[in-house]
Amino acid sequence: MSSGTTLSRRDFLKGLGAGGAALVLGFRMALPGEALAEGLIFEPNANIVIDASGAVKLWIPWQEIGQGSLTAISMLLAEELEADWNSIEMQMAPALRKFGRMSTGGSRSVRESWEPLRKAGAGAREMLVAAAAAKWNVDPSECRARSGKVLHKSSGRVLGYGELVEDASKLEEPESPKLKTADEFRIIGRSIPRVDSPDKVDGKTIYGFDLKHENMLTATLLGSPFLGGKLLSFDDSAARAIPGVQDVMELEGDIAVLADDSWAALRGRDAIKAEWEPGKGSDFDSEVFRVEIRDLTSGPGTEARHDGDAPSALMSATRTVEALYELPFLSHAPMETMNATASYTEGSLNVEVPTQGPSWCRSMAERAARLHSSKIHLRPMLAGGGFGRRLWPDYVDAPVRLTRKLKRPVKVIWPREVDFAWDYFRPASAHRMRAGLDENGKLIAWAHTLASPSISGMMNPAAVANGLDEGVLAGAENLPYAIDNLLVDLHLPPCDLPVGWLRSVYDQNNAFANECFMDEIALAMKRDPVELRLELLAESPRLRGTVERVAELAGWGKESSLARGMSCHHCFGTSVAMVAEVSGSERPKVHRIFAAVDCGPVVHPDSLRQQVEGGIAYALSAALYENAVVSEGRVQKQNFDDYPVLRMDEMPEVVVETVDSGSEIGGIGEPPVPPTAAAVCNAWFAATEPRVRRLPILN
Amino acid sequence: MSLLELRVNGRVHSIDRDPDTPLLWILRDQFNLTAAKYGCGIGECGACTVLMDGVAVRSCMTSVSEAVGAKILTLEGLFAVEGHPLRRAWLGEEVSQCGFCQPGQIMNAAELLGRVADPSTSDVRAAMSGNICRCGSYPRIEKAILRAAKEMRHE
Ligand code: FES
Ligand code: FES
Repeated sequence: MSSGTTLSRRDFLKGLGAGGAALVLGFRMALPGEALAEGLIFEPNANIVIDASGAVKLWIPWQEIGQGSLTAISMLLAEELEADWNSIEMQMAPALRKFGRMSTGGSRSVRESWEPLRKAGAGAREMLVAAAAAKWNVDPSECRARSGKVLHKSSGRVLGYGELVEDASKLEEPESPKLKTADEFRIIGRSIPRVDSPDKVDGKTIYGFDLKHENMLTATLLGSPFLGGKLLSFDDSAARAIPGVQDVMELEGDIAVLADDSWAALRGRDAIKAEWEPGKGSDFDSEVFRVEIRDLTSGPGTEARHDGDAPSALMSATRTVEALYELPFLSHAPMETMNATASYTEGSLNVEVPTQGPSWCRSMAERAARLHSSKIHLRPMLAGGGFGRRLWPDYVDAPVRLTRKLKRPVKVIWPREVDFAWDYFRPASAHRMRAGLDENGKLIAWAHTLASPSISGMMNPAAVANGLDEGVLAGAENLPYAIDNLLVDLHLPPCDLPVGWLRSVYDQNNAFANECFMDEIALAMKRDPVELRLELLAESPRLRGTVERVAELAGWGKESSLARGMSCHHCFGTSVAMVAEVSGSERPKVHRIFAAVDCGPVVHPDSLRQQVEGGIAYALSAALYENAVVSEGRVQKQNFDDYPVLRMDEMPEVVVETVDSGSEIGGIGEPPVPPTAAAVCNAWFAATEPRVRRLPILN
Repeated sequence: MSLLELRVNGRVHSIDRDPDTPLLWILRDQFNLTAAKYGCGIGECGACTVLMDGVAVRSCMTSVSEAVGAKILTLEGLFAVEGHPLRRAWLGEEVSQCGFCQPGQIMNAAELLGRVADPSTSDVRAAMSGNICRCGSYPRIEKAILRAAKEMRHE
């Protein structure tokens, strides 16, 4: 096995043409049945080439942003192909049209590869076995494939895959190859060492930020300090005087500084004096927006779901519970700031970019370069984090335009301040929740009025013209609890601040509201929060199973010196329940978080644990600290001094268990995020009053 | 501009640069030692951590003039010797996710283990809290450091 990061790119790409004897397979992934997050259409296609040396080359249309998918996806192929793991050479696919639309989000990489890639592997295996059987003139059923070879049991004859590819490539691909059953797996379910680890640990991985080309200029950008600003004039004399600065120019309303190296570019940027005229959004204030959306929830929104008659049930209720929950805008802040590199070779444009959205990047490059897509080679690089920020392609435009103008390779790097200022922020939201109990103390009504700006609507207002957006409603509309009278209604306020997808998207907002509120209801009913959830989840057995498991794991109900809180949520095909253990009065100290996860079959157990640990860290960071404040149109927090994030001293112990309910495969990158904040706030409430209804906790 | 001599990973380099240039950019852009990363440029994240005479410094906040005369060690130099216990521990605990913060984490851990042979969990946490990991690899960094420390004590 080797990951494409260490192979020479040229060698690897040669395989794409697949000259010489080789077995070449394509697989097309079906669109998933469930609604795609935020309307991102997705139909990737990848290629597999087994060559005469027996090497298996796999182009993966999903991007590695740290989640371990290169390893896990390759395991799916290796399993069914009966390949020798060491013979697999995997590479992130370039954004070629033949690979279809490529983007990595929605926790889809492994679960959407699950079926097609195993089928492709099984199909290839059957072809290789058939080719061997024909050579030996025996029945295929007498042959067996193992570790890259076909064996004929009775005669002991053996042929390697490399020796069979020529014959196999002349056979029909089987329509429905036979897949292994779970008990036959030899690779799936094992924590094989991640293929990207050694280079990362050695510091040898070349991230986009590290790229270097002959004759390359490094550039950076200066934009308006406030939203919607228009460039009036600028003075670049001081910048040009800095040794190493090669050029300064206006670029699509921003100012680009080009230099021999990064430091000269960054210093040059700081030396520019520019005047900007306010425009749309220049007076945006996140605090004003918070009050606006809070007030919106006092009135009814567009009905998204209405079971029974919630208003009447609330009126007739003996007791009502009400609460307002508020979540702020968030910055993504991946460790590697946005960057991209563009260059030309023989009339073709090369773009090298750490991204989650290669196809979208390619479209942007086409426009900026005025070139047909066939002339664009876009190569996704290993990324230093993404968290949804890298789904957008905006960082591709400047390097393409600059390389076109200057006819030299150009790498554009964003300083941390630009990375914060030009983010697409996780939408703020307000949730007004009402519940009604009848005279027997039974929960008879639930109403959730939600206000949050729409990401889809920002891109295409027509998409949400009816006042509804599936994306914003994720986790609210599909409340898993059985309640007779249930109303979810929605306000989609316009918002001048650009908003975007952040790890688990609106499920994070809605799960916080649902799960804190469920605890408030339990308190009003004088019921145990776990018991109440179990009762209301009678029709959601999968989520219920995780609640049961996590309660067991955490010893719920037993004496403990620490306060405990629980929460659960189902999203991206996976159910997660958590119990947090917390102490402290001034501020919460989170000691431990137990997580029970049902994501169906587990491909790589250790990657799963990494994702749960990481998801909890990311969500806890947001819950405790994160708040992207904007005032007078200016993003106020532009570096980690103003925008604190979770550090090691506050990382809780994380205990993860998987629950196997025999369900189909779900995602894992996002599902651990939504339940975290509620579990912590519920626990902190148990430790100390009052209840936190507005994040971040340390406001 | 002035001529400066820097001793990095046992090699002496001469460069003609503004003495105020942060060491980080000299390492990355002039010497092609890109393990040290840019994460914030203001000393807040630790991604740029390297050792100067065995002490962990933020290379984004250290000017080259301050680095003249010191023995500078980057991750490339630390792991140039085969079989470093930190390397084994980092791989054994499968610490890396995106990996971008890891060179800085490892260099900071190297300084800690140079100072304290038998660190407690709270020593590790205190020493490592200047290094941000947005992927949340913290529990594994902690385990990897304790594992490496143990191995080094038994060597
Ligand atoms: S880049 Fe030096 S501390 Fe962040
Ligand atoms: S591994 Fe991604 S930031 Fe640490």
